[in-house]
Amino acid sequence: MAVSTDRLSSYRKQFVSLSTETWLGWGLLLPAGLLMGVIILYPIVDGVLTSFQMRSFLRPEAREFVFMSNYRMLVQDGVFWTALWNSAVLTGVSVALQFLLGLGLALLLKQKVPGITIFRSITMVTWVLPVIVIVIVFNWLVQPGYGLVNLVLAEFGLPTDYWFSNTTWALPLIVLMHVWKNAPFFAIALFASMQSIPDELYEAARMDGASAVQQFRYITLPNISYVAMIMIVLHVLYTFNNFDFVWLSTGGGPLRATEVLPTYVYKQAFDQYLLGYAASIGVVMLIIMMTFTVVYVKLEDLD
Amino acid sequence: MREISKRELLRAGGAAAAASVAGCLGSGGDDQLTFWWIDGDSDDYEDHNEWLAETVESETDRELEITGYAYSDLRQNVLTGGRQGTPDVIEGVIEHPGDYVAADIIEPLTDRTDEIPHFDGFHESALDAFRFQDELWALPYTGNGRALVYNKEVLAEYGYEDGPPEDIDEFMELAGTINEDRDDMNGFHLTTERGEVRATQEFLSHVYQHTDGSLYEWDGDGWALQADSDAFEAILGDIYYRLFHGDQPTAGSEYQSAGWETNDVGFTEGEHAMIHCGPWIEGFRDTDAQVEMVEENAAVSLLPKHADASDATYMEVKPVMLNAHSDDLDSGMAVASAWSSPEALERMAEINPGAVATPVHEDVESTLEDEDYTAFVDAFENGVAPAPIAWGSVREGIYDAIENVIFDEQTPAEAADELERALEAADVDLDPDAE
Repeated sequence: MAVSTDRLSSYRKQFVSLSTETWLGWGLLLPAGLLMGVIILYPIVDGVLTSFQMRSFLRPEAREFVFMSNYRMLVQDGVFWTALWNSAVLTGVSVALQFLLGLGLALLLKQKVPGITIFRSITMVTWVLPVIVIVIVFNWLVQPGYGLVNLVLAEFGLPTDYWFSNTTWALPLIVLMHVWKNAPFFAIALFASMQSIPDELYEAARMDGASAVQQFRYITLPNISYVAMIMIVLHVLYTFNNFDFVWLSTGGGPLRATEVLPTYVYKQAFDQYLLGYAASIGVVMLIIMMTFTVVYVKLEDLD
Repeated sequence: MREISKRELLRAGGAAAAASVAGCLGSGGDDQLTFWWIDGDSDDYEDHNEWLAETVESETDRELEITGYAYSDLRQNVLTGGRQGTPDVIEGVIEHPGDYVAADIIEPLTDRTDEIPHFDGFHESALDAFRFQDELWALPYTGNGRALVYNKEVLAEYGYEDGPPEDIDEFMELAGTINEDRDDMNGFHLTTERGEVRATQEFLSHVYQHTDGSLYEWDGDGWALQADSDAFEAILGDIYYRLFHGDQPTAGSEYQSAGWETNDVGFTEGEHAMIHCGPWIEGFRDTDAQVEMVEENAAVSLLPKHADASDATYMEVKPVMLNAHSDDLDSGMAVASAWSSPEALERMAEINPGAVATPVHEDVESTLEDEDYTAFVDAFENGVAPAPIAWGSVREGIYDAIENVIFDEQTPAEAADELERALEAADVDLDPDAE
């Protein structure tokens, strides 16, 4: 009997302890959960709900369910498809170039030469520049008449243009601004990753007669691949959602050559006041971005 | 050195977060009136803002907090948060009152005009810009009409000592000839950048010549489009196409889709012989060359037009409005009244002469002293205020038409047909219940 009472008491203690810890855990999670619900979950749910509604920015309280009407309109909207294509091109090309240039720059930063510390600091300057400053600098560089790029081109007898207004060159120019800003960040992240590779690996490889290219291929690249993938996925998300570069430089023109999904959402919501339609474009963006986010989370879980 | 404990760090973080939240939740105390206007944070207008705040405080015993916003941000912030009662008083552009009325944000002023000592002095045309739905919704404080600014010296060389020709065809021929003759100068330049509000204003100036009134008029049931594809084709073909195409383009192709800076700064730096502009052109005086241009070489005439068209042009009038959700409309009215008073406008003229070049008030003298600029006054008198409609899809339609023509993607006739269809289908009605 005494044994049975002891066992019961032990169970009770364990249960109380477990329940206290569990409730304490829940209690600690609750404020953060509530905050997330209010600032993340509610806007997303409301946004998705709005995508099935006719709703004006001027009278947001008036909502009318139109079910799939906004999405049907989306499928038939040529500008939406143009914007989707431009977003994909801008993201794909920008991130690829950022990675390649960032990798090259990281290898350069890794060299032990005099003055490299200063060079590493200077490298980050473009990344810390505000977007508006970058756009103003580029806009000034390509101005017709007095822009530096055009003055140099004219000096060599080459054709000049206001390159942001050129249907062929406007999007590449925006890609260039993205790359100019973000490649150094890739470089610093990859450089940090390279610094964590033990020197012994390279020494062993050199003793085995591996060339510099082979060392890069079989030691550097595999060891930075995790950071590289995280950086790529994060910048895909950032570039696909980026609004300010396009809005400030071309406003989506000329001839919709630089129209991207974020600028199109903005125009629909705040110029046309079509909150429901804008939300449906936003939901499409959400689905695309969620796909990349899932990839990102999976990559983070890899060890 | 004393170490900072985790507890202290947390406490400091908590205090900072609380201060941030307090900052986000409310600007200023409950007894503060708030006024948002574009130059609210500008150093140039510091004394002017101080004067306004002192004037209002002496009349209402309430402090006035003035904040500056770019117009697009201002409009969004008012539409998003205006119902909370902040700001009490709103400055804006001519298209804003329509949006705010539709959103139930601004207060009609019709029954409050007695509270404005200088009300009788306002020009009727300026007040008319803010009269709709049988109410007056805003007070005007400054305005302008769009005209043609030209380089006297260059035009004199081509035998046009008294100004450019009125007829569009002759005008474009002259501009084309100047452009052909000179490597470093365009004959005529227009703002054509997508999203640039000046592009639509300049286009509308020519549309108004054909409609002799607004682009849309209320016909009792809804807003009816006043222009047809013939008018659009005339404008797109005789002006916009010939800017960059045809036998004698008036500007270099590198000026396609250029913004207002290229237009205005470009003119004062000698890049264009003729441009569309308003009285602010006098304010570009950063270099000696610019000072020489605006003081000696620039002159103004009415815009060129087709033979059967009128002298109408785009009229811009800046409004000041009351937030209907303000907790103290009387004090707000004191701000609006002081802001639009002759004294305030005269003070403003000392800071920016262009702001009072074509005053909206009889008791305020024009800052235009140079005879070469007086055509701006005529332009203002011929001005047509834009209708209080939703301009979003209309603007997009106009940008499409302009771009398709200047990039030679469509003929002017095709672009004009498409524009007419787009503007007929545009949802311009700001009132969702109007149907």
